Amino acid sequence: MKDKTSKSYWIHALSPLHVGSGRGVGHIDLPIAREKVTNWPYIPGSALKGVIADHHDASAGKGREDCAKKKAAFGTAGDDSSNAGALVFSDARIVCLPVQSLYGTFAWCTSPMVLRQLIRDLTGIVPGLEDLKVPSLSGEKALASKKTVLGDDTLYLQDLDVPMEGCDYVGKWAEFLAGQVFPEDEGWRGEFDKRFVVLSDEVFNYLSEMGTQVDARIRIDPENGVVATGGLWYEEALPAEAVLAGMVWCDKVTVKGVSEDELVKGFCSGKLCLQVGGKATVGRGRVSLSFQEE
Amino acid sequence: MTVTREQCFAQRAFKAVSDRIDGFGGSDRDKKLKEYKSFVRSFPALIQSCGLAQALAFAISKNHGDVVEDLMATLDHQGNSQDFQESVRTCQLRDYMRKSREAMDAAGWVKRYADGLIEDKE
Repeated sequence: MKDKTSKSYWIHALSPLHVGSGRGVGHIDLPIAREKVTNWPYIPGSALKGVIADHHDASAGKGREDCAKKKAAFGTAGDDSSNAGALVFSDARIVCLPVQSLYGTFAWCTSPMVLRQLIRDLTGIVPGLEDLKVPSLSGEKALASKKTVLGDDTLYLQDLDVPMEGCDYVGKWAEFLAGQVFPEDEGWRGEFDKRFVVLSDEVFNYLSEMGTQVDARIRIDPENGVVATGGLWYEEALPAEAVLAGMVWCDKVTVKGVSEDELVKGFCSGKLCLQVGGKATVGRGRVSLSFQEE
Repeated sequence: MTVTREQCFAQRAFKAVSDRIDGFGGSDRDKKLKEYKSFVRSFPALIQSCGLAQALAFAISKNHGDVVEDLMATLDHQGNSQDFQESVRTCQLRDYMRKSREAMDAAGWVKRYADGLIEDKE
């Protein structure tokens, strides 16, 4: 469903991000949402749509009723006067997973399959993407840009040591992605370039499960000042620095006098600082979201 | 008839944890149960945050060879604890990733049964 109003959005996590999927049956009590087929972390479009509506003071109910544009963009409920929102937010899919690295502090890791899916989703929407090639990579190898600070010929990630090579393609990807995620920040674009690395799909899959942040949380019993019985739980978060991307477009507008362009420009432009997902009161979910420039 | 990997883990973990609980005796039985349960609960998260080789070494250093044995039983590892640790330490990256994933799953089952079978006491 790509049309002339489609544009991409890019999310950079500024703090760990907990978009949960309810109670887990594994060792993590509160796991993060993951795509069924890839098992990669993602942010459902519904989570973002609500946050963006709230950012524009257009939460369901009173916030929308009095403004035709907000009503058209996000929809309203009701027996007689309901209308579907016209703005459509896709899920935000993972583009780079940050992983601790001995050199360079951390690496922004991706994989050929991630890049292939990104090309499929955003070709025709983001200019320049069609010129980029997916690096071919198999087994235990990593490809970095030639400006990398992640090491010479070995990448030391968490407890994995992976042989690494410099590659021109990867440098082009780094430049392209940095331009989308940090459109107005040259300093961070440079940092991204130096830390971007492509891993094989299997190593990326492994890190997307084992490389997320797992925090032990406790509840203190006020009577005795120690942890209450049953008051220990583990919650997962996508680490700070993660990069995700998705797209937004405007479907048919059902409110008279409001154009599609107006909605996309009004609600989906520029850079927003948002709080996404749960555990906000303990500092989770601060993100920077950049909409593709016109 | 084929059974799933998770069913195999569940069967073996249930037996390992039940036998472990039956084996704790003496006047300090409650204390041993509490320590076992406490370590088992944290073990899968330890594998995730530190890596399998380090988590195993840590368990041994904290006198929790029992937890490593129950993990091995759940994974159906044939051999002793030294062999198991050796195989984890020396395997290639591809095998290490698979072993880590399986160990996390298996440790999750051990945790689940320890949680269910050992009652919390104030």
